[in-house]
Amino acid sequence: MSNIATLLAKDVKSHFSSMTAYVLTTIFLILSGFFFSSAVSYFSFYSFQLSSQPYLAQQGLNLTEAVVGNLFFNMSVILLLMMPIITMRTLAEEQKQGTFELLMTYPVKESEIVLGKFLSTFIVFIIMLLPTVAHLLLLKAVGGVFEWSVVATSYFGVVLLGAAFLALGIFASSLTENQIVSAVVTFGFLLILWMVSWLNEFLPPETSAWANDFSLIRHLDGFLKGVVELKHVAYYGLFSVFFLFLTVWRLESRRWVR
Amino acid sequence: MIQVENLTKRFGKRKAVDGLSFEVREGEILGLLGPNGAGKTTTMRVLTGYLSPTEGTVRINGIDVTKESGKARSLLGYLPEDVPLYRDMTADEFLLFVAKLKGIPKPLRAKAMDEVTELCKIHEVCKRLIGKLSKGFRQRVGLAQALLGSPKVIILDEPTNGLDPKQINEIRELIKSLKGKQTVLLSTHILPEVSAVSDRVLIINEGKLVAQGTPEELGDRLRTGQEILITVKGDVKIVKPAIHRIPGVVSVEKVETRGPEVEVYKVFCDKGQDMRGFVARMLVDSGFELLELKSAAMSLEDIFLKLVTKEEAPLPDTVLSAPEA
Repeated sequence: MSNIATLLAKDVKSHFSSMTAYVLTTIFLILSGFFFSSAVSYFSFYSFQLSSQPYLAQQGLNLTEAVVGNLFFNMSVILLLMMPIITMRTLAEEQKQGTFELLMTYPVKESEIVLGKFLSTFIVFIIMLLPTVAHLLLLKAVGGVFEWSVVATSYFGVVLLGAAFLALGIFASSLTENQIVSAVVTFGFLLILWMVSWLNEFLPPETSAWANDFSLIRHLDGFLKGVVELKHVAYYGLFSVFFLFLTVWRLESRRWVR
Repeated sequence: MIQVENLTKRFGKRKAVDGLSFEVREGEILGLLGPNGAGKTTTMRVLTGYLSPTEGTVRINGIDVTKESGKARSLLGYLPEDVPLYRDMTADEFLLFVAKLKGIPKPLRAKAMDEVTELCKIHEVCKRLIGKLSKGFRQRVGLAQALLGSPKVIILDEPTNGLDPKQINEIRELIKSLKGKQTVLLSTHILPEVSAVSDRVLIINEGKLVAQGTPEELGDRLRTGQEILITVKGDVKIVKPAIHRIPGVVSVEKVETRGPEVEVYKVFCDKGQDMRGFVARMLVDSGFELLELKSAAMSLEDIFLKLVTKEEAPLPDTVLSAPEA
């Protein structure tokens, strides 16, 4: 346990001393802020138009769904692009510099290294995500009416999704000494797992459910509507655990070869 | 302290290490000598548990490094070949990080760190980023992390690689100072290093043990005849034939001139007993002025080349992978 904490502290520090964490957080906030403000602008534009049509105005527009849901969906798209950059360095760099070999000469387990890597990137991710609360506070301040409970479940969903991204990214990073390869592999796989639900249109009905089940993004829908279902939590949880296990195996495999 | 039995490591079809057996005794400094690609690094990686052996066993203080890797590793300090370090940490931060991972209890950490900073003389750079340090200092930080916590066994892969002569000397002195306290296994392809530092030498080539012994023993065993350098005052025309007439002398050649009628000769004698005393007596008895006489011992360099160069004639039986009984 203490080994994980030691490794974790080292990695978090290195994320910040190498500037990547600052740059990524800044860009993430700019992008999510842009999407957020444009969603708010659209919303106010349409709600203004609707007010001139009495029977439509009665139905009203849902700010929670139109702006909050939109914000979180857009954030997950930005994360799809940015997470590979957070994870690409983790194990690829250790292997390239030879520091992995050095670590392995201390009484440290591979699983501790992998968990340290995962948790350190997770902390960077949370630090990146936290300031987005400001968007919502701002919306509240200007009189927006939305449900905080949906905000909470949306954050929960995005955090789970992000953890899954990170686990896959760390696995990809363990496969190579090259950071670019690691990032591209991560991005490619994430995108495939993201888009797999698009196949629905071409697949026979009995397999289309299957494609949905595999899709990284389809499992987020419920969270953005304020519903937390065990199967979706389990999907992201198992996804992360699975790839972290694969990473540990991958690192241990050098000792299986005899 | 370290027992290696019949160690073989195969990468695909290539055998990097082939049936290597040796032992390092407690408190000893053993030099692993071999040309590049001889299997030194692979051997060390198996010893540290980083790689698994294809065959054979490695025990450190009686602990099998494959079966109880973690336990064995807690006895080890290792400096890998290219001195991998975290460049974005300061030397102090790095040593603290290592101390924690090595499981040194908190109250003892500061003392352990002070010890190695003292020993490796890295006081002045403690607060600087490792990435900004010179090669020499980086090497010492690498050595410091290996020595941290006074592990029983220290394994150093080419510890003086890429240093300047002064730094090399300092590192060698440092390694020598560990003698008796810790067991050291170091590898190198630089010959003077082994003779300067180690008690015993293993010469490996293509993954196989070619010879082992103290540097002197290796010299003795390989010498095919005796070579003596003598400086004599006198006319070459008279001195040279006179030396040649001494029984047991095979050939004489003039090597250099030291002054008027002062010449240095290289004398080859038969294999067998030490000829130095006899030659000296014969020369003095013949009325020559003998100024200097010394044995031109075969340097380790010669032995090494002889052992690892294939064109050489077969070696004497005694040398060929004869583990000491």
